Amino acid sequence: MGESDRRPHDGEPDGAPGRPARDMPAPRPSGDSHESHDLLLVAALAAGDLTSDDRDRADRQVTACADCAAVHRDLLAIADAMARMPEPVRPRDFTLTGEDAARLRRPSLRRMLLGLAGPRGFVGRPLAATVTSLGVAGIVFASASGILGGAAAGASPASSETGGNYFGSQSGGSVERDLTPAPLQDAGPSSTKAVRGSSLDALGSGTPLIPVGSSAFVTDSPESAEAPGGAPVPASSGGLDVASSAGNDVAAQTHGRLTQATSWSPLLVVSAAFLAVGLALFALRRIAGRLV
Amino acid sequence: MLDSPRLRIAVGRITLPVEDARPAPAEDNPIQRRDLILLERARTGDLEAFNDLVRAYQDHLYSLVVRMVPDRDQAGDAVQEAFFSAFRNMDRFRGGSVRSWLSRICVNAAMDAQRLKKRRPAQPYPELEDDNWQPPAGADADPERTAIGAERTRVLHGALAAITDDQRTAIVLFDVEGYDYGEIAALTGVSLGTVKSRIHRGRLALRDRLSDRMELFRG
Repeated sequence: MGESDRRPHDGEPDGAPGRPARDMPAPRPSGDSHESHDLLLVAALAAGDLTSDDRDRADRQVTACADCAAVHRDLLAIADAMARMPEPVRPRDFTLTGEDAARLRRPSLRRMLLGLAGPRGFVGRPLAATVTSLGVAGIVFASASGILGGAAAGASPASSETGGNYFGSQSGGSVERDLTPAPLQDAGPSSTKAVRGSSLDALGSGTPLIPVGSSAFVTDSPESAEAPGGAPVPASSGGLDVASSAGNDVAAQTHGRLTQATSWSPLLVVSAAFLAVGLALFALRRIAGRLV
Repeated sequence: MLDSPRLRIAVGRITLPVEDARPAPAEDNPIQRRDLILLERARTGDLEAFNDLVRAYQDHLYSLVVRMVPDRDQAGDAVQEAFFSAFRNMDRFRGGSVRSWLSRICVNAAMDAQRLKKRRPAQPYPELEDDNWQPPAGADADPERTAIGAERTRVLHGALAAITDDQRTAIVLFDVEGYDYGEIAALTGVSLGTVKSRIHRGRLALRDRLSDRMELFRG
């Protein structure tokens, strides 16, 4: 239906057209003209829905205004004609055949999908939106917590973690701590990389050996990599080899830092799962909508 | 004072005649009793019993749906789908009127068809070009009156097809099917006030559409 076909009373009342400040308003009908009368009141009167006060007002309106009386008469005539509409001729027989019955008794993936995510299915848009929002909020919260936690950890003295047993030696004024040798093979032979640990890094890279929020200057040069006590570590050996060679206390510390680094992972995993489920529900609804 | 009617009622000496306004139980209505028997037999796997129910109500249900979905092909598909749905969900019938249960399924199917039509509009109102839309005329019918009646039905159906789906559904359920406001609200999932508003606005919209043909209805 085009805009030109729109008639009054088609839907909700339109707002006032034009800008209120500049445009000349349409002339207001006077209080006695038919245009100013409430036709919905007349329609409610024709339907018999009015309370006594409103009915009196509507009766007065219909009595005083001939046009309103005509509207009232027309509405009653239309309602009467609606009730007396003849039954249309049925074009075909709707009885079920044996094949129909057999087919309907079988379980069907399409029906299951429609029952689950169809117009009246269990999976509504609010549910999908809620699950998706929870997932997004959880991921944001986990990331923000990781950043805030990292900042807090960076602000606190690292002596508890970088004590005498920690890998580290003063070299050129910077603290070098080597716990993650795996990425070093990608770097140049004597390059030094600054790796900032976070829960996301821990989740994604699979090398969660950096404390949360701490900056570890990692080097793969054999000269600068040293074991506790200043013993050099061979460049070919991995971090776990270093840990095993450094003794059980180092391994225990590594495990402790690993646990700390991945402390936000469950929230992140659950949030990601929520997000995935929410998006899957949206996809299910879309597929079911095409099947209807 | 001691002989006042209020006191006698209070002490229970007399019992007031109270008219039972509740609807008769389903077992007292022969049609409902027949429907329940057929449905029970259909539940045990008797397809012919279910088809007896289909034959009993297919005319009524088709006429209900075709007024909500102006495209007659779509209306037929919706009714067929409603009977399929009723067959699949026979076990979920919780008692009451089988006719109301089937009507509810058909209204849902018609609303699904309306949504589908909104999503994939093909031909807006094919009913308007359908010359076969004629009510059946009896053998002794007055030809002039029959022609006027056919024209009134055609015009009214065209106007119904031109108002919004929500208004049409509410008007058909109220004026044609005789549901009350509460039942329509429950069927369509909106509030009582919304149902009333749709009916009032829909009737005014019908009058606007029929303004140049109102002489057909005033006579």
